[in-house]
Amino acid sequence: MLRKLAGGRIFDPINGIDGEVRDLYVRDGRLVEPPGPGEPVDEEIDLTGQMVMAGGIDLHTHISGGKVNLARQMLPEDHTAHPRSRTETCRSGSGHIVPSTWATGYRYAELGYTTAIDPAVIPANARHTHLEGADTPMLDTGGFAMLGNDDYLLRLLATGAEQPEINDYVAWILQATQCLGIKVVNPGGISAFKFNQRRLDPDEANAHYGVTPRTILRTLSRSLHELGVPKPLHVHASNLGVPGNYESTLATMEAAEGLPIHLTHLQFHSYGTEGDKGFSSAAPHLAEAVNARDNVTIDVGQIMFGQTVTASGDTMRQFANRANADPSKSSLMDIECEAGCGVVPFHYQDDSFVHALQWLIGLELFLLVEDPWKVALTTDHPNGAPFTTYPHLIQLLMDAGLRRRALEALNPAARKASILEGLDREYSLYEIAVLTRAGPARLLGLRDRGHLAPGAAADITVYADDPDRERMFSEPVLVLKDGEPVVRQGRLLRPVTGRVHAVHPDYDPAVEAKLADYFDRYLGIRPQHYRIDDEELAEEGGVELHPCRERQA
Amino acid sequence: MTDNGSSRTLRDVVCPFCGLGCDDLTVAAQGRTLTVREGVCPISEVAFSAHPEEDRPRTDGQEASLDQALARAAEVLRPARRPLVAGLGTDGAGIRSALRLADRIGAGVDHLHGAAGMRNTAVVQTTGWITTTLAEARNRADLWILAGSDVGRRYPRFFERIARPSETLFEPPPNQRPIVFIGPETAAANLPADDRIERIPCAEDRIGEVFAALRALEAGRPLFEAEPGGVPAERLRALAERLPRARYGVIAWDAGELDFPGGDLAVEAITGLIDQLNAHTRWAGLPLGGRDGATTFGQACTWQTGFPGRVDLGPGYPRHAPHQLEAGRFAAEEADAVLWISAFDAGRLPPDTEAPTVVLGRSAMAPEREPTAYIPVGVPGLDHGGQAYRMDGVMALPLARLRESDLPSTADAIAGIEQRL
Repeated sequence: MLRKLAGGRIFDPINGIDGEVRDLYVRDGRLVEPPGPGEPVDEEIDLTGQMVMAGGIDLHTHISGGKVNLARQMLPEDHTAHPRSRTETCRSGSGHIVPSTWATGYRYAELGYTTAIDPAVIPANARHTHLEGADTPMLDTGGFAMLGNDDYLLRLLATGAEQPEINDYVAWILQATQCLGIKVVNPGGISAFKFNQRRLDPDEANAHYGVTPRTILRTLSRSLHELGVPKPLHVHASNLGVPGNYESTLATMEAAEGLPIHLTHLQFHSYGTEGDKGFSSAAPHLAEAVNARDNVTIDVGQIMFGQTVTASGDTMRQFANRANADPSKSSLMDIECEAGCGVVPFHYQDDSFVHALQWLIGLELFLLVEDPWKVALTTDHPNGAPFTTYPHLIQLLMDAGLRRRALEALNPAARKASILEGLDREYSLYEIAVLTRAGPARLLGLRDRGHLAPGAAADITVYADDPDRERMFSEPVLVLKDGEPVVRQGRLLRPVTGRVHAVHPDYDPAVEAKLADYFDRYLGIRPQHYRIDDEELAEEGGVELHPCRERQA
Repeated sequence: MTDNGSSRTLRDVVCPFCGLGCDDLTVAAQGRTLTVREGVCPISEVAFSAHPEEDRPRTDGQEASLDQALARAAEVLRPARRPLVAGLGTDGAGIRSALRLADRIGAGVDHLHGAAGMRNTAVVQTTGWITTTLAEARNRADLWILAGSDVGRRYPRFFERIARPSETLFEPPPNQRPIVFIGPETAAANLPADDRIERIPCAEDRIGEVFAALRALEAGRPLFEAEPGGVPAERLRALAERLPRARYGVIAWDAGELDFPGGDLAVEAITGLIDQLNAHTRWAGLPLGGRDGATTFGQACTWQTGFPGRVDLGPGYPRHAPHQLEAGRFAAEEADAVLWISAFDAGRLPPDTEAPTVVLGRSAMAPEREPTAYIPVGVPGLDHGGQAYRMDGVMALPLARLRESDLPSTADAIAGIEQRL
C-alpha cells in the first residue's frame, strides 16, 4: 500500500530540510521515492499547514530493567494515583513517574516518540530488560550495556591486559546482551563502593584493583572506537551531584584522549562551589569545554519541578543521596559482580536553592552549547523528571520570554546565581528536531532512523503549527510507526510492536573459553545461559542489527 | 531433541524449582523419564522425576479433549464478574499470558506465594532496603547471618554454590567465612557439619525481636531484656560487636518462612539493621525465595501492572489490594470463577471454593474438589522452554525442553482459552 503524506512542512535536519513544503510517500513501513506516472496512490493524507518530523528518539530513558522495576515496586503511591484503564485494544497500566510497561509505550507514542533507548542495562539483567521490552508496545528499543565496574574488566585492567583482549570482551558483551552501545556509570566507583569507598575521583584508585576511573574511560572509549561501534561510550561521570564536580567532568572528557565520548545527564555533573552556599553553576565553563571539543557530545538530564524518583546504577552516589530522599525511603543493590543500582525518590521544588539552581544549570547547558548536534534532549527519565515533561521543556527552549517569567517563581538566590536571565537564545523547530530525533539517530548509528529521506523507516510524527509549543508537542496530530497510523490527535489508535536495535561487533572466539572459566569459577552460571540468542527477541519484534565499522584491533 | 526411547544425557540443564537457579545439572532422559545425575539435590531429584506420565484433560470430571477443556474453561471465565487468577506457578511466558487474560476479564490476581511476597514488598514500599545478589554474596560475604531460614532443606545447594563455593574472587577463602545461624533447632539440624557455622537457637516467630535487639546494640542503645527473642543478651552483644568489623556482611532470610503475624516487621528489623551498618561498612540483604515462579511473577506483575502482586484488575485498571486479594480468602468469599495455575508442582492445589474452577496443573494434580475444567500443562524447563527468574530477581534464566510432550505450555493453554472467550 502506497500512502502519500501531502503538503506538510518538513523538518528533516539530517537532509537539511528546514520547514519546506514537500510530499512524502510511504510503502511497506519505509519512506519511498515519489511514484512514477500512472502509479496509484492508495491513500492520501492531507498535511497542509502541519509540521512533519521523523518519530522522536529518546537516547537516554530508564523505562525498563531491574532498577526501574524496583522503583515501581517502591512507589505504589505513584501507581495508585495514576491508573490507566484498559480499552478494547489496549492493556491497562499505571504510574506517572515510573509507569508500567504498557503505559510507558502508549505515553511515549502519544507524545510522538517511536524509539526509546534504555541507557543502563546490567549485562546479567539484559534478559529481564528485553522481556520488559516485549511488553513495552509502540517503541523500538535498544540498550547500553553497563561495563566499567564489572570485576571481569577490572581484573583485566589490574593485570595489564592488552587492548585487543578487552575489545573481545566488550564485543562479546554487546552480542550477549543484544545492546547498541556501552555505558559506564561512575567508572570504577560502583565497584569501589562494594569495597566501602565512599567517593572516587577520576585519578583515584579503586582500593582493591588499583585501577582509576581515567584508565577505565580511556580503555572503554578506545575499545568502542577500535571495534567500530557507532555509538560513542556513554558516560555517567564520577561524583554525580557533588558540588565542585565540574572538575571531574572535565577530567572525564579528557580521559577519552580525543576519541568520541558522550557525557550523559551533564546537568548533574556541572556544579561549582562558589557563593555563600558552596554550590554554583559551572555550566558556562563546561559548555565552553564541549564547544571546544569535537569528540564530546552530551545530553542534559534537565530537572523539572515536582515529584519524581531517581533510579541509577551509581550506588556510591545514591547512597549519599539517600539523605535527600523525598519521600524518605530508598533502596540499593549490589549486583552480580558487575554493577549495582540505587533508587531514591526526589521531589524537586522551585523554592529550594539547590533544586532551582539545578533547573537553571540544565537550561544554561542547553542554551550555551552552540551546536545542537552535540546535545540530546533528555530529563534522564525519571531522574530529572518524567519524560512526559518534554513538551514543556521544548517550550522553555523555544521561548526566552517564558523562561524569564518562569524565573520569577524561583528561589531568588538561585536566580541571582545563574546567567539564564541574560540568555536570549531561542531554539528553532529545526533545532528541536535535531535534539529530539536527528541528533540521537546519528549518535546511535541508526542510519535509517531520525530522518525522512526515501529508505528511512517510516516512523513519522506530525504536529499542528500551534504557537503554544507545549501544546503542539503534547498532542501530535498524527504518528506513523513503520508507516501505519498509531496515534491521532494525541490519542492512541492501536498498539503495535517495535523491534530491538543492536550491534554485533566481531570478537575472537578465544574469549569465550576464558569467560566460561571465569563464570564457572566465580559466578556460578554458564555463559550460554547468560547470553541472549536472536530467537529470544522474536516477541520483542526481532533484532535489527546495525553495522559497525571494520574492527581495528 | 528427539525421543526414541533410548537414553540421552542432557548437560548444563537449568533447574527452575527452588529459586537458586542452578544451571549445571546433568539429566538422563529415557522416554519421558528424567533422572538428575549430576548437580542433584533432594528437590531436583523429586521434581524432575515425578510422575512422567501425562494426564488427560477433564471437564466436569469426565475425560475430554484439549479443545473441549479449553472451551469449558472459557465458559467458566466468560460470564464471571469477579474472577480470580491465582497460583501462577509457571514460567515467564505463562505468567505474562495469565496477566493478559486477567486484564481482559478483570480478575483479581495472587501468586501462590503471595503472602511471602507481600512481607518483603511491605518493607520495600515503606522504607526500601539494601540487598545483594547470589554471585555478589558468594564472592564477597565475609560474615553470613542466616536469619531463621531452613536453608539446608529449602535451598539444598546453597552452601555448595553460594556460601561455601570452592573459589571466590576475594578474601577470605570461602571455607573460612563465618556463618551465624539464628533460628529454630529443626532448621539448624539441616545445616552442614562445619565448625565455622555458629548456631544461635531462636524460635521462628521471635527472629524480629533478635534483630530489633541487634539494631539497638549497634546504635549503642541499652537492652532492657535479659533474653531478647529468647536469646541471651550476652550472645547478642558478642555478635553485635562483630557486625561492624565485617567488610561485606550478608544477612539472608526467606519471607516464606516468616509466616506469623508481623512477619513483615521481622523483615524490617533485618533490613533496618543492614541499613544502620552501612553507615560505616558494607552489609547487604539476600532475600531467599523464588520457588514456583514467585520471583518471575513478582517481576512481571510489577512491570505489567505497576504492583508486585495481589492486584485487582476488576476496576479496569490495576488496583493494589494486598489484604483483599489473598487468594484463599478471595476464592472463598468473593470470586465467582477461579483460574488456578501450578505447572511446576502438582501438590499446589487450588483454594477451596464454591466457585467454578479451571485448573492448569502439572500432571497428577489431585484437587480435593473436581475442577470444572482440568487442563494438564507442561512443566516449564522439562516439557517446554521459557524463562525463570532466580531468587535475586536479576538473572532470568533460559529454560530448555528436555523431552517430547503433547501437553500445552501454560501460555499456549491460556491463548487457547482466550481464543474461545
